Formats: sequence, structure tokens, C-alpha cells
Amino acid sequence: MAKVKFNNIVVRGISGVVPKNKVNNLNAHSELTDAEKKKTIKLTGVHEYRKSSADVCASDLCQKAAEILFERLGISPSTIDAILFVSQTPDHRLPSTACILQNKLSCLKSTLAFDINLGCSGFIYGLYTACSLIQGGGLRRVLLLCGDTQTKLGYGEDKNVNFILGDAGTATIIDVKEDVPDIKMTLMTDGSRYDKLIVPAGGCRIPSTDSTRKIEKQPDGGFRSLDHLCMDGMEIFNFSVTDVVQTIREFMAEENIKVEETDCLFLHQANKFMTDKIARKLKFSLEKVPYSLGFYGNTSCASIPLTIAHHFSQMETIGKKHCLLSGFGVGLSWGVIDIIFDDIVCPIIGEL
Amino acid sequence: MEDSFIEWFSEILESENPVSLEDVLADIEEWDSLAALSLISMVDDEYGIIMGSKDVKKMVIVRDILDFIKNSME
Repeated sequence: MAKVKFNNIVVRGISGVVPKNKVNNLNAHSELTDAEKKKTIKLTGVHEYRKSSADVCASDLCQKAAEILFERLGISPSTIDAILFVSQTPDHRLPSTACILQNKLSCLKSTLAFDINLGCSGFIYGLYTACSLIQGGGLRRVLLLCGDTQTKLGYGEDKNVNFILGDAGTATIIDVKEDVPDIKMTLMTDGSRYDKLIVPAGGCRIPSTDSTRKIEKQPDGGFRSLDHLCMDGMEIFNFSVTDVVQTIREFMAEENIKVEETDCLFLHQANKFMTDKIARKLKFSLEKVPYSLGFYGNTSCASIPLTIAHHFSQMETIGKKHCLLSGFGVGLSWGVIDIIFDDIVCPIIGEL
Repeated sequence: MEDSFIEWFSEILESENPVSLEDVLADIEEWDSLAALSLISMVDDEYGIIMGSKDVKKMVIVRDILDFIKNSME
């Protein structure tokens, strides 16, 4: 188990931006009856989500989120030492989208920039990488951008994914600061279940061709093409409520973290059924588990920072908040972070 | 156990019609992927047993679920 502790590092602020266009699940999906829609909304907790237009990419949402955060924190793009772009929906196959963002955000040429290809666990891994670049790599300020436009990956009539996935981009500023509480993390991977959440074609293993793009009935009974996102919901559910719960439980025991000493548990916004169950198993009362999925759906790697920004932006004073964060999913990849936010700056969620 | 099983399985389905052990799952209108998730969750809560998607796909009639639980408890 990869376990790490970072010191003298602070998360200064987190911002989120979503597309203007809302999809209301009750009004959309003409192929489903009202009763079916209501039942699905009740279980998933997703009333509506945001869908980007064809010309808006995850990087555009992240760029705006970064600009909002720079302004609120009063920091100049020239002070950014590194840009990390976490996403599974990059602008191009290559180059790294982070390089394009260095220019668009007017950061210096001396900025280090690269992409990290992860989904639901992306914020955890992104924060780990940011902290590593500071503690081991000698940098002073990292801009972590987590965003995805997953609505571009699913097949329109696949209820499995099309009902819950939304688009969002976020920005997080991580700084050097002395005498702040440690940030503790644990990171996990199980590649044996890589096919439980996958877009099979379009890479080098199965290049996209006319035949992979054909919509047809797949072995699991669903209709989509091999170029579309495919999820084995039951296996992902079992993974989340067993492996993820076990990792969080062990982490809390080893780090001696008591439920009653924490203020918030921020979970990847998979769906309400799953996250409620994880919270229940860990004995967290639901008041300590903030949600954003009712408004924005499951936004992949953006979901944890979006939920944090959404939650804290509604408070007048934030002060010190002891939080646990856990991201889990595609990979399979998962992780947990124990962090104390101290007057973190979270602007109201923006729109593009 | 059979009676309580039928009771909570009916709750999962939110079915207006009574469910019997011999009903074919595929013929139950309310039996869909979300109901299957609820089932997996409930079996975990009630019995501490984890059902995989392969286990669920093998089940044909309602009694198969009950048999799976009984066999797992042994």
C-alpha cells in the first residue's frame, strides 16, 4: 500500500466551472417512462447535470476555473511553477493538454506541465503529484486542473452512463507554507479489473474503425459501440462498497482518525446510492457528507474538487475543516486523503 | 427466512404485484440493473454476503437468489 505524508504544504483555493447547458433527467430521455425516470433519479440522486457543447473541452472549463481562482487569490499566472491537467478527455491525442494551457493561461515558459490520465481517483492522484513536486521537487506553487467532458464519451441512449455523467472543470492551487498540519494519503490500483469501466476502442490496442464505431448490442445486453464508454455497474458497485470502504477503514485506523473528529467526508460523486452506502458503512452521518451530484451529476476527476468548492462557497466563514477525501473508479484506481483545510478560498461555481 | 426474503425483495422491486419464488426474473417488469444493484446492497446489509455481477447473471428465477444466499451462508 502506497502510504505517504507531506508537510509544509497548503491547499490555498479550489474553484469549479460547469457548462451553461443543463440537462434535466425528468425532461430528457424520451425513451424512458416517467416512472422509470423518477425511480432512477431517486436511486442515483442525479436530478440534472451539465452538458458541454461540441466546441467546449474540459481544458476550457479548467482554464476558466483557473482564471477565477487567480483573481480571487490575487495571484499572477507567472507565479505558477507547474500545471497538472488530470483528464480522460484531452483536447488532442497529443500533445499534453497541460502544454496548451500553459500558453492560454499566460504562465511562464519555465513552467513544468503535463497530463495525468485518470478519472474518478484523479484528484487524489493529482494532489499527490502536486505535493510530491513541492516536497521532493523543490517547486513552490502548483496549479492542479481536474476536468472531464464525459458526456462526449457515452452513447446517448445508454441509461447506464447517460443518466449520471456530467461535465465540469476545476482548479486547485497548492502552495508551500510552513507550520501547517500534515497531509496524509494512501493510493491503490487494481488493473485486473481494468475492463469494468472502459472505452475499448480509439487507442492503439483497438484503433477506431468503421466497425468499432457501429452501434450494436454488446455481450452485456447494452446498445453502444466500442468507441463508447462501457460500465459494469454491479462490479463497480461491489468494488466501491468493499475495496474502497476497506481502504478508508484501514487508513483511518492506522492514522488514528476518528469519525467524530472530522468535519467532512468528500467522496467521488459516483451516484447517491453508492456514496450513501459507503458513508453508512464507515459510520459517517450524512450531514458530514456533502453532495454536488444532484446538480452536476458524476463529473469524473472533477467531482471531489467541485463538491468541495460547491460546499464551502456557500459558507460565510470556513475556518479550519478536518476532511477526508476519497476518489475511486476507472483503472481500477482509488485513494484517500486526510487534510485540514484552513480558510480555503472557494469561489461560487462558475459557468461557461 | 423465505418469508422475510420475499418481503424485502418485493420492497426492492417496488412491485405492485406479489412476487413468488418461482417467478422468472426476466419476466418481472421492475427487475432491471438498478434493482439488481439494490439487491446486491441489501444482501450485503442483511447477510454480509457479496454477490458478483456473474452470480446475478446466472440467476433465472427468484428462488435462485435465495439459494445463493443460503449456500453462501453455509
